[in-house]
Amino acid sequence: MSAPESDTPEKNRIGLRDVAAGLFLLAAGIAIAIAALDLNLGTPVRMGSGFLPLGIGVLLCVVGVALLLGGLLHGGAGLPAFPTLRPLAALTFGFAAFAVLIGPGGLVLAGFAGIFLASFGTQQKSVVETAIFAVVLSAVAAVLFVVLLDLPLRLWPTL
Amino acid sequence: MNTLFAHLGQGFSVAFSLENLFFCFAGAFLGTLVGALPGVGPIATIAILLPITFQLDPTGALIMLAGIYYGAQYGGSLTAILLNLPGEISSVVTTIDGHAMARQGRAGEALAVAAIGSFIAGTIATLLIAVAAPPLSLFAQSFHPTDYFALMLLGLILATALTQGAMLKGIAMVLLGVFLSLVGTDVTSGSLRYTMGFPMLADGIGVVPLAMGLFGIAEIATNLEKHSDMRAGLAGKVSHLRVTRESWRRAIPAILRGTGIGSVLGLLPGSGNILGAFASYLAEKKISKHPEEFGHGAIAGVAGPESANNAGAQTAFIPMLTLGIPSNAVTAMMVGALVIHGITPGPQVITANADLFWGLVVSMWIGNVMLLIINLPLIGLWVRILDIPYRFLFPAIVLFCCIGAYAVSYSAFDVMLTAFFGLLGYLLKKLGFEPMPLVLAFVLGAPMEENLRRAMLLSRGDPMVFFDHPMAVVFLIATLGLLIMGLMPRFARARDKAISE
Repeated sequence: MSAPESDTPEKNRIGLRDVAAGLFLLAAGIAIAIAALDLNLGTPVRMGSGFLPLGIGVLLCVVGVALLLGGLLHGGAGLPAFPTLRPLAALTFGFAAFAVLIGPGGLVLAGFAGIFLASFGTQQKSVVETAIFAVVLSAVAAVLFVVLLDLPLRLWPTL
Repeated sequence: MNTLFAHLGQGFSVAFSLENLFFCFAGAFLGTLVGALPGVGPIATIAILLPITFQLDPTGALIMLAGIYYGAQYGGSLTAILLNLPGEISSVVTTIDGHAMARQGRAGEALAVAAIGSFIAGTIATLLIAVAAPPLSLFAQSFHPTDYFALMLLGLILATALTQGAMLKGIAMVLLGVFLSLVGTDVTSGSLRYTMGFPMLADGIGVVPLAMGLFGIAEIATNLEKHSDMRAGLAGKVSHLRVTRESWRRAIPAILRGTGIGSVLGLLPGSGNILGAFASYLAEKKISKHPEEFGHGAIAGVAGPESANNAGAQTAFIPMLTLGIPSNAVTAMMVGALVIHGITPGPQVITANADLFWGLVVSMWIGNVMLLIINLPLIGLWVRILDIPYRFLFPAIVLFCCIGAYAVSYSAFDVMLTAFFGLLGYLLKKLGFEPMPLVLAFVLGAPMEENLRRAMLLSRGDPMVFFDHPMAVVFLIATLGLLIMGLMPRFARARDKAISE
């Protein structure tokens, strides 16, 4: 567990971070509640599958509005800083590439692609270095997981 | 007393199989290895390593997980002392005097005291579990569904009240967590909920993609964006682990006091072990004859909080083992692992799966012994690992996560889900939400709905049923009180002050 983004946020007159958080919860709550209406709500005695979700959706809206108002009226931290989305994007693409390739491509290929893409999360490596690193690491993973730990994973693409 | 020894004897016979000893050792070793990576806290470590335990039988898996947990805790102390990088909030305290000691060239002393203090605390806390668990679970077996529902609600709200950050945001996390636990097939009616057309979601969301994404990926992403190379530079060399007699004289009482404080506060849901570490530090500073040394390498400032932290980490297992109600993200993941192995957590585990239960309790102690064996002689190895640049480490962690998430049920969809929860965790972090209550609520969501429905069905829908059960009433009143106190601005400010201190 690491500390939340800013422990001592500078206090703004309008707390945009809480406003954004409130809007996020409000959107989630509305979506959950609307979808719950399509489910069987049931009665309090025999609660249907939609009973609890509807309640959660409504409560999320309430909490969202409270956060939003709190941010507007009492102020608080400003919008969070997004210095760079590069690491997040690289990690996400790395995972996605692994997910797409692991079935048809096998562990070596999927591992290579995942590591290669994720490595772009930092700017400190050259492409060549990254590629070599990805080859070595996926080979190590193949030996460790398939040869030693005996996971039923395919190593190579099926042709 | 005799039954205590009989139980522990049973535990030893389980834990001392060659296999289980190996799992315990492997867990503690891997846990330290991953936990020592800068910026990877215990929760992320367990999330990352959870899948490798799925191949084992339930007892072996839990034993290994416990080993991983202790290893991760100690790995966090290593980075706190040597790099001034706390893996989690509870080791923030350790950085104060531990890192100061490291800068004075006393890193070895700090590490040795931390390890031995943790061992003593772990031993005492394990005994505490062995003594307290049987009567507690016997008591819990008389619980009515209403009691259960009320107790889980109380636990969740208590967790939000004791976690850093606005309580309103904690409640939002609880709601989201319960919601996410509902995704999939509704057990009562068999209808699908919120699967959004993905047949893979019919079985629900797995605890591995959720925890790995929310803690692992989101943590790596924020680490990378802060400093693209996290190698912070070691403070001094670890030349020897000798602790002077004078240091022992100061450390031993601190260790014992820390154990006491940590054991009690560790029972609280949420951030019990964090509170324990901070409370122990303040206590040591207050009663010390040399309060001016604190912040400049006071040995008691390392020994107390480290012991409190470990004792709390241990006693946090009591609610999970006796009631089936996890009290923090770590025990929540253990409950998830139990469910994957087909064991329903609850008060019946202690009798129905006695081997597993006592084997786990004894393994906790063995795990602490392993830590001493692994850490003190191998300190040089860990120091070298700390020196690996982060840009090489994080792609390796990503690959490990990918394979881990995939190998739970050989589903590429789970890998995608992990990435999705990584995005969600990142967004939540930026918006000032703390994801711990979410994971807790995620694990408790399904049993809560089940107990609520059962209670309503038994009472024919009369909400007054709660008043027929005095225990439920007490839990509900406490919940309400916490909510009012947490949401009232005046109390909220006092609480923020208390927690931030």
